[in-house]
Amino acid sequence: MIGLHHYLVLSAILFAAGVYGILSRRNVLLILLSVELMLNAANLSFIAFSRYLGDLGGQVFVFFTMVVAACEVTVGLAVAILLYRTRGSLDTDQADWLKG
Amino acid sequence: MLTLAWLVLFLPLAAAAAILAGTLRRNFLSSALACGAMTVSFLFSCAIFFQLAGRNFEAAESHVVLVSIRNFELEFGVLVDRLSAIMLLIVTGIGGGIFFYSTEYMKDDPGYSRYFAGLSLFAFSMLGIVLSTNFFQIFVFWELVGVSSYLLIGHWYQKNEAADAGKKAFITTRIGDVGFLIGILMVWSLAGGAGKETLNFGVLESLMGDGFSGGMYLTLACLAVFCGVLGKSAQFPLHVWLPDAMEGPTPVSALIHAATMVAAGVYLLARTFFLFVHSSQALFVIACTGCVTALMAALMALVQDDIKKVLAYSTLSQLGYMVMAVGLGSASAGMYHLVTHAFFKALLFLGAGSVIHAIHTQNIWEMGGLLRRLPVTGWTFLIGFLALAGIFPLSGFFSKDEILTLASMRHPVFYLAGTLTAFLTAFYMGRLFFTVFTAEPRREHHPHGEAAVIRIPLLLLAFFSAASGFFGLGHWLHTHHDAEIEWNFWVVSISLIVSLGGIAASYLVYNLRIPLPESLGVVFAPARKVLENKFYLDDFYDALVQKVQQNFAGLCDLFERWVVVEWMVNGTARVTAWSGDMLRRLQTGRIHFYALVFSAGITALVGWWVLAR
Repeated sequence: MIGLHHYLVLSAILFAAGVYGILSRRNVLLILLSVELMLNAANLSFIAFSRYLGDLGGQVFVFFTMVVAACEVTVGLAVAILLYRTRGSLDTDQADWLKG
Repeated sequence: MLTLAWLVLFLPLAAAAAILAGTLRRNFLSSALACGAMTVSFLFSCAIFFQLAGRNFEAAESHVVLVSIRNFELEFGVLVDRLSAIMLLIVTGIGGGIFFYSTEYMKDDPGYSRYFAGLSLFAFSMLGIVLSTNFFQIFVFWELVGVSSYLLIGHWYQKNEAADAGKKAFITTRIGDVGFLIGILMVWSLAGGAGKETLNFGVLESLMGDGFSGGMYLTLACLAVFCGVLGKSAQFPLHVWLPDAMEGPTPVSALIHAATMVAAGVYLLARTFFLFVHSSQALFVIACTGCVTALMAALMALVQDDIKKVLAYSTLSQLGYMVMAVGLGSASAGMYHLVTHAFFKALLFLGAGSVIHAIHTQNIWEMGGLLRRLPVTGWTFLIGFLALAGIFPLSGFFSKDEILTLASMRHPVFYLAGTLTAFLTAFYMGRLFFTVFTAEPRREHHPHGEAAVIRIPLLLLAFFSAASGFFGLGHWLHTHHDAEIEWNFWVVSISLIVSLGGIAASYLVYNLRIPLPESLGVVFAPARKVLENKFYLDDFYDALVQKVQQNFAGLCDLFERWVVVEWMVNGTARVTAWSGDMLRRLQTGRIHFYALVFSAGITALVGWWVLAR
């Protein structure tokens, strides 16, 4: 029988994978991908709790999250394109103009 | 009557303001304004005197309240009683004469209008002191006198000596004034202890009636107030400014020495005598100061070559007499001598001014035989000289002998010093008179004559120098605080003989020029050297300033440079710069670093939150 715990553990694994991806990858696209992974990990938790508690509020939250994620990806990709145009690469280590 | 007093006070100020505002370029108008204001003030003063006489000399005052702090009030007003009425007459009368005299003396001076503005301001300040109703007001005018004396002594400011003398007079008197200010605060607290916070003389006097006892605190307060007198009335050890003040124009010297400034100190003592009578220790210190000043100044006057310097030291010496009289317990005797001295010292200075004006030198050894050339000056100078020496029946005789009699009643040391001073006074004045007016001239002079505005003040002052002893002023000024002085035939005759002896000795030495044995000069050479160097007091003060004050200033400079600027100001800047530098390194610009810190922070927060439960 698959219970709440299984979903939550999966969600935690996905989230940790996302964090690891952000910290280890240097390519902007991969970082954006990792962010999506973390958002979806959160979504999975929401859905699981929604089902477990029989409350539709969790599913409503997920819709909001998906809208925000879409916006974030739009802006993120635009930034990535500009970055590529000005720097000629998507390596974040080379994008350090804001160094103090 | 009180309205008149307000007018007397403010007329000279109005004249000074008008001169500065409008007539600086019109010499005649300036002097007319100043002299006019002074004349009207004098007439009003006479009117005040007679009205006061009509009221049987009952004191009257009116004042406005300047500042009111809870139940304490700072007042500004006029007080008319015997003391201020007689001083009003002296200040406006003698001052007025000096104003008119100045129109001739300063005739071709480029700063003519400025000079009269200064004189008017001076007169205003002095009248303010005379009419003051309280300590606060007297202190304000006290400082104004200091400022205006600075302006007048430094009138010829192009000359370095004059500018320095002005500064010296101002700074030296300021040193005393610090004490005065502290004294005023102490009196205020004493008054608070006695029942009412006030600085008003009348109220204070009634608070500190018979049986009042302030103990050591009162003595200290009296001595602090006396510090102000030390400065203004040029008592030892703050007397050093007075001889230097001779750099000013001669009428200014006459004004400072006779009617204003130095008189202010003695006047203050007389005005606040109700305070001093409660402290015999303070009175003793005052008497000693006066005694030392009188004797020292008379000794220094013996070796001066400048006609004005001789007179300056004689003023110091006479002020010493006055202060000693107050210290010995009779303010009225001091005031009496102040009044008579005002007449003959103004006379002597104006006479000296007339001589200087005529032959353009101040060195007495370049003068001689001037009695024939300047008869009015010469004969009036003789009257002033005899009055100062205290020869019967001139005014100085009465006032000085009152002081000597008082001294003989107290302690023989005071009496001996006073009598010795009387001898020296007669001697150095004889030296001055005979050398300048009767001895054979050592150089030919062609003095131009004496103008009427010079002669008339001289004659008037000569009349009062001769006659003012007969009005019984000493008795008239007597209050219940003053010690009784009993007429003593022996004291009077001894002082008369001593004075005549002094004159005779100076006649022999300086008029007949009898040859003195060489050995005398050798014996007295060291003493002469000490006297010519003014007891090395000026050198001592110079050393004090250069060694002590300069080093202390250097120390302060180092403290400021290294501790305040280098350590505190620059140190603050350096710490800020350093911490900024450190914090800057956190901004690497690498997104991974930020993300790492961010996630570590979140993990830490969440971990802490979970564990804390």
